[in-house]
Amino acid sequence: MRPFEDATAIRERVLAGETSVESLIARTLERIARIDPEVGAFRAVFADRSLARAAQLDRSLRNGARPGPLFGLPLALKSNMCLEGTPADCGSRILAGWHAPYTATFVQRAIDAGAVPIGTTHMDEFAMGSSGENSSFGVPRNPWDVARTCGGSSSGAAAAVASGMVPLALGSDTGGSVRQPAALCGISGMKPSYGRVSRLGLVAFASSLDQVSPLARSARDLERVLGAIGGVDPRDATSLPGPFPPPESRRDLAGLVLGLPAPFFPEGLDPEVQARVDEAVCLLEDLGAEVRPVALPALAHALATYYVIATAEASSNLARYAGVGFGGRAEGDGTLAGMMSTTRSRGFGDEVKRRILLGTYVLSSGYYDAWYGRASRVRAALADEFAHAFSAVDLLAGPTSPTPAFRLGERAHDPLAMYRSDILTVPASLAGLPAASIPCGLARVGGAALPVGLQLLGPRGADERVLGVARLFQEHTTHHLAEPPLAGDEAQA
Amino acid sequence: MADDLLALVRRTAALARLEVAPEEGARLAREFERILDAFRSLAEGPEGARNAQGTPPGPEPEPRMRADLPDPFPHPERLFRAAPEPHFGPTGTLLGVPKTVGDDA
Repeated sequence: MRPFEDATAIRERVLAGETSVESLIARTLERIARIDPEVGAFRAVFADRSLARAAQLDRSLRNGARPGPLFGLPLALKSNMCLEGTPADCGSRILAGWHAPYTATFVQRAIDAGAVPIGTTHMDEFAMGSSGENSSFGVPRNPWDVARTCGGSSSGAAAAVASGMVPLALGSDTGGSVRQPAALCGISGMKPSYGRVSRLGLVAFASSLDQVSPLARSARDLERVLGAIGGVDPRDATSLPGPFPPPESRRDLAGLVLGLPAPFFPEGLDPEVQARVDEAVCLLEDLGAEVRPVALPALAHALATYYVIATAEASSNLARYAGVGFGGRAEGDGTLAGMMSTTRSRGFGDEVKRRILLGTYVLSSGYYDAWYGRASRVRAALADEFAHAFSAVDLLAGPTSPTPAFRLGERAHDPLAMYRSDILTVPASLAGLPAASIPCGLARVGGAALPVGLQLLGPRGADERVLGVARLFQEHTTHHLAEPPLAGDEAQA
Repeated sequence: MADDLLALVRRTAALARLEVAPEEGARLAREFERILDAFRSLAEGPEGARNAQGTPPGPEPEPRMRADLPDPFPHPERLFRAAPEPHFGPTGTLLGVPKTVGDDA
């Protein structure tokens, strides 16, 4: 069994008796021990717990139990997800040592489908960042070039899959936090339609935008995970009714109209990214799609709209971290208010504080309507524009990230430059659309070959259409099979 | 850098219950200025943008909001006076809850 096989292939080998789950998990733990010092993806590894779970799954298979869609598959969780009794610190000092008191709906569904939670991964603090550098505990490195970022905020989750340590990971995507790292690390990631996956047990950043989103080595694996964890949850009022839609099977793209929004190809787009995406669109055309330009003028305001709305929601959601209900506490000046201020000031990192301040400002009286009110109206207009566009096209396509992976530290001291990393992913988040990023080739940057991601967006609720086209694209390409050059693998070879 | 921007950062930090050291305040004020300048394009957003409730565009009502001022937190003793009495029993510490109307059990 090769470490870079996708989850579907690994599961087939387990069911064919080529390996036991226990042996698979033992090899996964061995690979994490060998590769993770180079990549730094994992925050915690549940060695004993996952081996015990593997033995239990082997017994259940021997006893004739029907294997679930994720049977025996190692699964990494982002550190903002609740698995009872395990740490969920969200990459923040303020939650250091905090353990989840219950298991999230989507984690429980993955377990019920046979997955083996193997550990938690590093992330930007409270999912606020696009490079993984805003973590209090560790910054993952891109397996394609360890001097570069994995993207963020699901940085460790992407690095863990891209380096072949695990075939599957769950991340959260608020403004692109799964799609952008998937693109920069050369793997597949998908943010489903808002509400397709329950958010119960996902620590909130911006509740109207947050979505649990899988990272995998293929689009067929994304289908497999979303089919298992998606569907209505009575304990999440924002979850969409019904189960996750069944996969859409396509032999070609005849009859499909693919829109190319001009704002997805801005002037500053990296020429190598442009070239790889152009090649991908040509292939989709060869498969039968009709390609049309699409005008979406409101996209010009998407980044500002996103950062006003997301920070406003974050400032409210993070008000609960005040040294009382969760996490650590600093003494302060002896008063209750002083204890809260000191706890928050010492517990939060710079980017989180910056966003709390920005969010508090745009919600404060005298500024509310000029900022938050205006952003809410632009968001509604943007959703209207998307709905209008989807009356004429079936899918939209463009790059996921305007550049390939940038160097660690390159944008760390320039918040605006970092925010602009999200410019192509925030539109789908604001409109609640399903959007996937799949590998579409490598960009030559200096001496490095760095992955480029193709982003596919569908109408809200049409997740199966996005996945069907992504899957067909991968049946006709090999970009998703590319393996990064890891020193740990070369040393063993 | 304008002093009013620094004052704005300090006032916002007080609302958010965050302490801002003098040098941190100056840095945050500079960053605020850049970020807000970059986001001013929102004011030129799409014409006819409907409001969040989906009603057609019209004259925008004057928002009626309370002033945002950090309130001094009540003294903890005042809060604790209203807390239920603890009872120490064989199963641990329990909090006594006053009987409610209709609760005859």
